[in-house]
Amino acid sequence: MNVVIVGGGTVGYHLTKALLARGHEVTVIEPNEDRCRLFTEEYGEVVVRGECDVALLRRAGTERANVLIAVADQDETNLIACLLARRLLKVPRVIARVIDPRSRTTFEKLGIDLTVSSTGIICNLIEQGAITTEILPLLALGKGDLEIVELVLPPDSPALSVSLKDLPLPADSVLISIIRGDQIVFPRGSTTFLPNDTILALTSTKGVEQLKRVFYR
Amino acid sequence: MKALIVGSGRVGSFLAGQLVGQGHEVVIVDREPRSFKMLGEDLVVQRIATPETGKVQATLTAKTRIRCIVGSGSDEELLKTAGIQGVDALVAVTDNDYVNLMAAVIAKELYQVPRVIIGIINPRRLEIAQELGVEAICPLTLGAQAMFESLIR
Repeated sequence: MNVVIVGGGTVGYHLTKALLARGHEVTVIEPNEDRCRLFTEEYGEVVVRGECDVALLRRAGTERANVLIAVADQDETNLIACLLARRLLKVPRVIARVIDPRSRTTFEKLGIDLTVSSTGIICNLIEQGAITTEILPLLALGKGDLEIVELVLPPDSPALSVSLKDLPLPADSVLISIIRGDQIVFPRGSTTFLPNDTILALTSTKGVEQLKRVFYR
Repeated sequence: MKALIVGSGRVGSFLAGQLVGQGHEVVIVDREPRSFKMLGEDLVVQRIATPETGKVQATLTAKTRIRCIVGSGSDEELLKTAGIQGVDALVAVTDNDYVNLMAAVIAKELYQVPRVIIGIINPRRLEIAQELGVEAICPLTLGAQAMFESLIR
C-alpha cells in the first residue's frame, strides 16, 4: 500500500518503521530539519520536508496514496491535512490522531470518521481493566462499542462440563473460534470446552461482563 | 450584526474595537486571558463557566460590551459556548493558521455561519483556504503588494 504520514514525531517514526517492515511504501511530511535528518538516516528517502499545505501534499504523492495518516502534534493540522487529502486529493482512506478527545466528534461531523485518540484508548483499557483482568480486548470495532476479545479458560471454569448451546451466553456476543493447542475449533452447539482453551469472541462492550460470568468462577 | 472573533491579538482587538464602535455585538475568544488587555483597559471581569468543563471563564467589558471567552478557537464546544449558533459572522485571526482554518471549517460547515473570514500568516497556506472554500486574507501579501505598487508608481 502507498501511505502518506503527516507528522514525523515519535508516532510517525514508529509507524514508518512498522509500515516499511511490512513492505508498504511510505512518505512522511515533517517540517523540522532534525527530525527529517533522523528519518533519512534511518529509513532512506522517505521524507518531504515542510509544513503541510496543498503543494507539499502533492509533492509527497498524496494523490496516489491509498491512505493518509495524520499524526502531527496538533489537532488542527491533522484535521486540515485529512480534509485536503479526502476532498481535494481523493485519498480513499484517511486516519487522524486526535490529541484533545473533544475534537473527535468535530472530526467525525466533518467526515473524518477514523480517529485515534490515545486518551480514549487508555480510558477504555482502564475501564475494562476495572471490570476484568481475564478478558483481553484485541480490537475495538464500530465506534468502540463492539470488540473482539480473547479469553483463556481456567481449570475451574464453570463452562467446562457444558456444551455450547446450553451456555447462557449474552445475546449480543458470538464465539468466533476456539484455539486448542495448535488447532482451531469452530464452535458448534455441541462443542464442549477444555481447560486452557483460548476463545475468540465478538461482543458488545456491554456483553463483556456477562461473558466473564459464563467462563470464570 | 453579531460577530465572533477568534484571536485577541493586534488584528482581533482592532477589529473588535471597530465593530463595537459601529454598534455591532462582539464576542472574542482567546486561549490566553492576558490577550484581552489589547481590547482596552476598562475591563470588568465576570466569570462564566461552561456547562461542559465548568472551567472556561469569560470577561465582560463595561464600556465596550465585548464578551471575552478564554479557550481554543478550534474547540467546537467552546465555540458553542461563545454563541457560534447565532452569529452573523466569524473572523479567525489567531497566530496559528491551522487553528484559523479549523475554526472557519467548523463555522461554515457545521454551523452555517453566513460570513466567515480568516487571517493567514504564511502565504503558502492561502491555497488551503481556497481549496476548503474559506475566504482568507494574508496581511503579508497585501502589505507587500501595497509596497510594490507604491514603489513602481
